[in-house]
Amino acid sequence: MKVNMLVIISIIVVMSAAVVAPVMAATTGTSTITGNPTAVIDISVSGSITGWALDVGDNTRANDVDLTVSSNYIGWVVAVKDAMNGPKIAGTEGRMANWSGSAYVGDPLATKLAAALHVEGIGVSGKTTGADVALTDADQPIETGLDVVDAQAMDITIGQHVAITDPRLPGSNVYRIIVTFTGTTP
Amino acid sequence: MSDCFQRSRAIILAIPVMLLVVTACSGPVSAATIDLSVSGNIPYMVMTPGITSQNTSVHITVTSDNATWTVTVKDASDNSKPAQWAGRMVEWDGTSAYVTNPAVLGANMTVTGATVAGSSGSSATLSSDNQIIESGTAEVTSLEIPLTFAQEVAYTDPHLTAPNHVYRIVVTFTGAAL
Repeated sequence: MKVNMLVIISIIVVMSAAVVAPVMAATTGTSTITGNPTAVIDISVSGSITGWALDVGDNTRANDVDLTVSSNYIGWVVAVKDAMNGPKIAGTEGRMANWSGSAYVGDPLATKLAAALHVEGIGVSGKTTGADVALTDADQPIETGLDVVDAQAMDITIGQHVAITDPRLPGSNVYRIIVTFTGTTP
Repeated sequence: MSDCFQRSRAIILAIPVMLLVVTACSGPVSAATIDLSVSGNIPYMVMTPGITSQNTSVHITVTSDNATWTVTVKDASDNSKPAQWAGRMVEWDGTSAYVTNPAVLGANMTVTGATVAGSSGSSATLSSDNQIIESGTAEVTSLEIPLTFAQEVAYTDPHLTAPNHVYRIVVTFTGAAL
């Protein structure tokens, strides 16, 4: 009887060993990856204003200039300034100045409009906060991002006050200014 | 001799025979073996919005004494990463833990194993499940296989501004000799 039991146990042990023996080996390893997307802002500005019929008093153009922003940085900023492109004559910073058609001129009227051009970024609920600034030759924020945005469009309103003392220009000369928009992720 | 003694002797003699039969029928008990190692981590993967960023700085090394083997990848949600974001990079505090209410990249990471002599590579979009990126076709010794980690990043994936915070994922590779 003892021998029978011994045989049975032996067989069970051997069979069990055969059953539980691994038929597949496995091994593992890991790789940890970290990163942070580069903070970026891409902006585009479309539209210009030509032949603006300026009247004495406040003049506003709300539908001519559009700003589009893509940024992954909450707190992005778009600022504007008069970069004196042209080049403009010193002393005309932020003002529309006498343009002959090919250059800014000081003859016969070395003049500029008395009031600075106003640029207003219209806010978008939950996305941006807009601001209205009187243009200078230094950057001033007109839009600040409250969220990340992808091709977010914003209206830009341009305003110009004309005084009775702002002279009408002779011939085909016009008042002119170029507004420079700059996007940053501070 | 008694019948009992003769029966016992017969049984004892039968033991080696039974062992041989059982051993032969149960097949080899020694397993095929595979050894896999990963060359390292990517401490700061460059990612740019609007494009799919790629990194090829990590490789795996495989040794297998079986011609048929696989390497799989998955996101095992290590370090208490919330399971619902398996496969995606999640905001990490920079030292020890995923943050509460984290930023999470919108797209899952993709891992691609290269095709090399002895193994056919493929791509897998990371998830919590093991997915094959290498299918071995030969016994190999210290076979180095390049990997490509790819991460699509959109403008709507926030740049993290909290000090030291980064997006993080731990990729688990498993080698199996079949």
